[in-house]
Amino acid sequence: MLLLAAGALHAETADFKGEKITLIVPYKTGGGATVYTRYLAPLLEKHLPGNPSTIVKNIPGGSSLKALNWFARTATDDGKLVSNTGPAFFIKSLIGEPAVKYNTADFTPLIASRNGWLVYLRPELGETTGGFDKVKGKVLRYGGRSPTTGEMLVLIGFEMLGVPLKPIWGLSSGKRRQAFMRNEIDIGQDTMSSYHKHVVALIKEGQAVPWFTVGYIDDNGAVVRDPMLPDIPSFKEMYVKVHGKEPSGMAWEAYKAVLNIRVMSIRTLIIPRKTKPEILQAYRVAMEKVVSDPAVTGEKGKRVLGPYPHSIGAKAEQVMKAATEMDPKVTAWLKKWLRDKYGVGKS
Amino acid sequence: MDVILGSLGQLLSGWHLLFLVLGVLLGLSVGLIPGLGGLAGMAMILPFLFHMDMGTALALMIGLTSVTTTSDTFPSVLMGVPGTSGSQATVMDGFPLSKQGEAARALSAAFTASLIGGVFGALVLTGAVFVAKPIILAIGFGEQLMLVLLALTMVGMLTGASPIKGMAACGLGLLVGAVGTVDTTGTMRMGFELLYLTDGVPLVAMALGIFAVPEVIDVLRHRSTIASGGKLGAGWLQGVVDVLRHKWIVLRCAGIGCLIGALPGLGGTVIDWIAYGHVVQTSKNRERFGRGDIRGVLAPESANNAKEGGALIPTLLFGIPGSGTMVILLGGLLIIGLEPGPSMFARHLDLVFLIIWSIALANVMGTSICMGLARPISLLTTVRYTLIAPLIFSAVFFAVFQATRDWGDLIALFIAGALGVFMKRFGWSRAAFLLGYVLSDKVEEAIYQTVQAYGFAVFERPLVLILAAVVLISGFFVMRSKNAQAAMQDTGKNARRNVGPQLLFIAAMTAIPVWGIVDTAGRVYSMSLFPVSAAIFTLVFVALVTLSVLFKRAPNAELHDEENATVGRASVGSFYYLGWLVGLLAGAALLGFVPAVALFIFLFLRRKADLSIARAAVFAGLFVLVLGGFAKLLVLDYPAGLLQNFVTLPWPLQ
Repeated sequence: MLLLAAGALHAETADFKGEKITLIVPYKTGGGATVYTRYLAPLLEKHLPGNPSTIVKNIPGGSSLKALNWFARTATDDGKLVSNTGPAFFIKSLIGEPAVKYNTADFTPLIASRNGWLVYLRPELGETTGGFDKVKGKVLRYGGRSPTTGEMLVLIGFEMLGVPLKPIWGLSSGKRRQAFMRNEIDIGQDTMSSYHKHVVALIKEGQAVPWFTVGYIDDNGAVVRDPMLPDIPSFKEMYVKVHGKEPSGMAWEAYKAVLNIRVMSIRTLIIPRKTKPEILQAYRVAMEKVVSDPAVTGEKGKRVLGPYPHSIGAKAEQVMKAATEMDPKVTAWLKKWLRDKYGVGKS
Repeated sequence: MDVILGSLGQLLSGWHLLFLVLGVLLGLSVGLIPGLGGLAGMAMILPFLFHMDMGTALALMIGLTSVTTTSDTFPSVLMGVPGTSGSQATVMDGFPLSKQGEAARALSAAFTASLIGGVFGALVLTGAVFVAKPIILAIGFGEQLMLVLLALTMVGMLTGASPIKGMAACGLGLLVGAVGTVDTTGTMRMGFELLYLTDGVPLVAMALGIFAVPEVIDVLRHRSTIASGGKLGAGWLQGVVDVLRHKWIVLRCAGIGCLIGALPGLGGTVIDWIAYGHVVQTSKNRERFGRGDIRGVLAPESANNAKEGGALIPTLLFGIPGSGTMVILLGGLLIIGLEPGPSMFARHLDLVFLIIWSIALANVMGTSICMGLARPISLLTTVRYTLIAPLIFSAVFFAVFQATRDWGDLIALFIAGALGVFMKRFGWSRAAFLLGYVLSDKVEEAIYQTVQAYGFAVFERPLVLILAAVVLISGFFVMRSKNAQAAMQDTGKNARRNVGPQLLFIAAMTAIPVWGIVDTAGRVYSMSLFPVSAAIFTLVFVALVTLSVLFKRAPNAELHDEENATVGRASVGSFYYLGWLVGLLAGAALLGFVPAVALFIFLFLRRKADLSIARAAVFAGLFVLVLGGFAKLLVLDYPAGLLQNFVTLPWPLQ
């Protein structure tokens, strides 16, 4: 009887025995996305039923759009094609870039990994952590790569705080930090992984003052302090301090969506939503085992995949929903603001 | 000091040394194959790094990244095909030397210079660990701009016989480099809205197209072997003597390579050009540059190995990669738990020295191996060229396909190749074009960032003023230096004959600046200022060239057609071989890349080398197996053709 039940159960579950799963990385070999995917690949092999083999394949080009368009076109319901994504996946679609040939709603996340973000200041400004009096009314020198990346988050934030910026574009995160150290820009910003490597030392030497974190979204969907830096106020508290009221309105809605993109799902693995239910279920179960595997929870896993817990299943869905389902009015506001303020999309 | 010696002990202990050797062997192999470099090598070992301990993983990675710029000299010197982007300039004099039968000499000179450069880089890194931080931080946006401008003055040394044509070529390079997405607005310019051009035209396609394709065609048309008469001249000892004779050049260029590798602003891809420009600029008798001057080989080779040591400085100190290879090294370091930055120096100083020692030792090992191989591999230059050419063509297409793994790569290579063929024929400096191309985004970025950050106040910074003076001095020497010109004869390549094709080429080249203006003028300032300025600059020089071509009666440097001097010698024109390449592309579109390459090699060997059916098939088959091996190793799919819509071919034909 027991045997029979087990057999029936088996018939309905997916089995990947002898199969090959391809994990797409939409960037050049090397870099964080490749490392992230390569670290997870053997864990998927271990925990998926039938222990399939995996290969990690880099498809660079078009700021990740080439691979993502191809993935959307090619991936079927058999679960053999999985893609890694970064913020560009959401943002390019959000701002309506014409080269985007996929619909973010057609995909479901298997895992979404987080990375907090700290904003810090030059000590010459004399500002304190969480303070605003000294910078009030000042134009701050800002350095970044491009207003159309995840750093859009801080740009919206400064708009809401009413801090005028003098931007210099074209700086990768490393170059930005160097420019900050040379005192050529006032505002530094780094993810939590870079924070430990570089920013802690700067703060110790008195070369940087932590200002605020962009925030974090808790299980109830509320914007809270970053759990890795609980002593540093979040952007939301800054807003309350400056305006004396809770944030609301179009800008705040846009901010929350980009916060989901930039912090709550900085790296994800996605699969088509149309994937067969039993296969999707197998992935979900495997992912639960993956995130509790010592290789993920251990010291090495935290170093490579980030120190935060990972979202899977319904939670990952929730993050993705918050990141993609923006009210059309908010989208319109965001596009207009990016265009008027930073010339984005102006031809 | 204890730390330094302690690391040496660790280095010489069994496992570490073994993995260093492994890394060196892998690094030499990927450097040898055009288009593959440190990046591809690191991609291959990445999966294994997860399971290795820190010391051995480090040995493997450093061994690999230290020597790719040693072995890349083989294809550059022997075939005229830049082995990696770091040895483009080596082709300038290295390949002519091979043609004169001095391949072994050029190679051994290059390897000795590489060794000195590499060890020099390691030495500088040792010292720099303690003092480099303030120096690097002194280089702000303004200083970076001056460094870029200094590099740009080197174009003046690379113009060839006609300075105005050289400047026009540089302008064209600047414009081609401007294609792609602009950071400030996230919008594309000059890219015909093609997704492929979002990130611009890949460097590999440009370098191999502009240099390799024309050289292969040229040798095919005019020679039976690369080395004249199929003989090898002076051996490798001569090369070592050359290095000793020019030791100051080697050391100076090592210093330049190290410095530029470490400082922000320029990056790895221009170092060989700057070293080359520098040695031309500072040499008294420069008639032989571009025709086989050993100094033109020593300079870039010493600089590009020294660069890796230099580039490690910002990588380790700030976590900012100083070169392409360092980007992926950073990823590798993250996996093994070594996080570059200030904390690493506090906690893992021993590993820092382990890295330094490993670089030095890897360079010694890499050089010894290459030296041993120099003579036998040089024999390739005495082999019938029609046997080698189809393999080189195929290898070049394979190499370029590594850029973005897109059909566009193959097409970009063909277009760049055709451009290169005609630039060579009509005497437009390909070096000036390429330097303009690699400097393009750096020039634009540096100007933009400096203006945003400082405006005119940038001239209040003392270091900017000092560097500006250096730029002016360099510019002055460039203006003063006259390229020695061979006497022009009424019957030579500079004669007033075949003017029609030259004007046609000029008209085609004019289309590039015109397109730049049409596409960007009237758009926001940050998108249009640079391309429109570069276009006007280019148009001015193109106009000067045109006037000269139209109205100067006597033979002159602007009038230039290689075909005038070679009439009657070549049986077929360049178009014939470009036609073969079109055939290869068309075949790939129909059958897929791998079957097309097999067919291409087979037919070429049958028709041009008169090989038997069996032999030609074996050659083609072996090449397909190599391609298949790389497909597995690098996880790549070759471009598919129409055929793949109907049948799935088995490995290795996929």
